Amino acid sequence: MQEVLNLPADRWDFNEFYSEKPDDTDRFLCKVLAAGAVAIYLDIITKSDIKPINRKTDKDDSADRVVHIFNLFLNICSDGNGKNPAEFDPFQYDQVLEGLNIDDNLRKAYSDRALKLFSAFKNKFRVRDCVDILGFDPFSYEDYDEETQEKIESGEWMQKCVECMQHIITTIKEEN
Amino acid sequence: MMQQNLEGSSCMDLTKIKPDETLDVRGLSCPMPTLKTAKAMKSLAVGQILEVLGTDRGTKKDMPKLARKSGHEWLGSLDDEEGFFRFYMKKGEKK
Repeated sequence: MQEVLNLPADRWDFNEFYSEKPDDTDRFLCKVLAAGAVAIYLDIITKSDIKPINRKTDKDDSADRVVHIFNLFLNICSDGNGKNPAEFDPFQYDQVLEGLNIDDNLRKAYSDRALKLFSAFKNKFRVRDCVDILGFDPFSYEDYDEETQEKIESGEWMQKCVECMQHIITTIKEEN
Repeated sequence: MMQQNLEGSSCMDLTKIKPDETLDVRGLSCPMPTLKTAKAMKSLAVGQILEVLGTDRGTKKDMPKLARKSGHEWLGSLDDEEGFFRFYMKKGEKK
């Protein structure tokens, strides 16, 4: 995703990307989908002329900032909280932009592109939560019967994960 | 090594634990560490301890959740000086 959107590696460090799943639900959003939305947000602010007043060094743009927004996204949009992902406003939660007036056009640009991403995903897969995509809850492995456990261990769900990744990357590539 | 006892874990000194089994999931990302840990716990006897070595930072939050949901005792985690994490879980009675 970093390459597709030409997000500068020295500014946005996707190598340190990790997720913290919401505590209040087992039905959290597909992380690749959330990562796609965050990548769109980063693309918009990279191309904008926003000059963050809280940004001291380039390092402020790195992993912690991306991880913070990504995990807020997962927490706010997963089913325990239920907010529509297309309505998530990353500008509101980006601490580096705190105190700045954000042009409404930037918010609209994000919202439009995120909505397209989510719609395309929903049209293709019909679901958006990780548990529905995988077909099981990894945290409940021991509760499943032997047959289901064997099916999980066969790893056929991995193909679904790969399909999701390919779909998100293709969608972002096409709209860019 | 820095010890982190999270989410209602016991406050034992994790550096003194002698695990019954060690599982290496370094380099793997979600959901593999969770699945492999759940599978490894299945083969332990009640009261035995599993040590899991991992590198995915998200796993730090997943492991206590897995223990809680599966009826095991979450003992805590250590940040190893070599840049990975050590997680400790004690097999509980079947739910």
